[in-house]
Amino acid sequence: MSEASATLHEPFESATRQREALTFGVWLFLASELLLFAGMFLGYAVYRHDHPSAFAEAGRHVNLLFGTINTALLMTSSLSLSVASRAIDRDKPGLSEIGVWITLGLGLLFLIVKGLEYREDLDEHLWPGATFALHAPAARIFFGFYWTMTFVHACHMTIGLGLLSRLVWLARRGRLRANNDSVEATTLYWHLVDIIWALVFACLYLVGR
Amino acid sequence: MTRREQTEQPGIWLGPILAWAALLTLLALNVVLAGLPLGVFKLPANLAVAALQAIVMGLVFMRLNRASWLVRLCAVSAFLWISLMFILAFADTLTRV
Repeated sequence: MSEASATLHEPFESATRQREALTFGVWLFLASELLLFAGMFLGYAVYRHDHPSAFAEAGRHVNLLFGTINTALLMTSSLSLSVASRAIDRDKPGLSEIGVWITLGLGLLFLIVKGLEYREDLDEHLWPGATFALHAPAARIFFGFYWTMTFVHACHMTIGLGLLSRLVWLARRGRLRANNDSVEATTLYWHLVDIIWALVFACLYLVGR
Repeated sequence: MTRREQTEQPGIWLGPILAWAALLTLLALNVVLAGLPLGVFKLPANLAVAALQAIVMGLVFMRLNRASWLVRLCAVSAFLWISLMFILAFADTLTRV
């Protein structure tokens, strides 16, 4: 492996062992993240099982076009970051930096589209408050999950954008090759956030069509 | 890195591009499935397609297909605990009278 160009940290004696420990550590963290989202998905599944018609009616009010565009954006960002990660492991920091920039742009675009969708949702009174537009009581539960899950996901996206910005900062200073483990860690985190979105999309945007 | 190790490494582009094409195809399939009158099979079909997308991303983008057994065990164990959580919760919900 080309981790040989990475900066070695204590207590590791080889870049390969250091990469192995980093990957394992990041996966441990990602497993805890999965459990966080799994709790929300479980709550959603139980309520959807108990109130299928209200969830179907509420689901028809979610904008499928925005959701589909955002899913395509995230999957494309996964492509660019995957290429960036493989490029830095093949000692191609220039290509890797381009991949990180594209991912950063697509991630920002995702949040902009999400913001436009939120604005439309608020205009249509889909916030489950006093002026909520739908009549079925369980529709409030659906939109409670909609706002919570998409907002928590957006928070993770924002953290991911922060990590990508750090990679850009390292690349601008010519230190990306020495920090290729950081590229790998950021890549794993970003892909997991994308996987969670694929499940959020299936649960919230495709119901009731 | 030796020349032999370099040639043994997978290409930068091929795997990710194939995975990306598969992901977008599955996305289109999921949207089409959502519009079909599949009745009770619609939700399992949508979730199955989403699960396939997750598997493609995990294996290719997160490189679980080339990861060590320790890392694979960690990933699989996360899904094992989540599965147990769903099974135990629905064992109550589905059998309540």
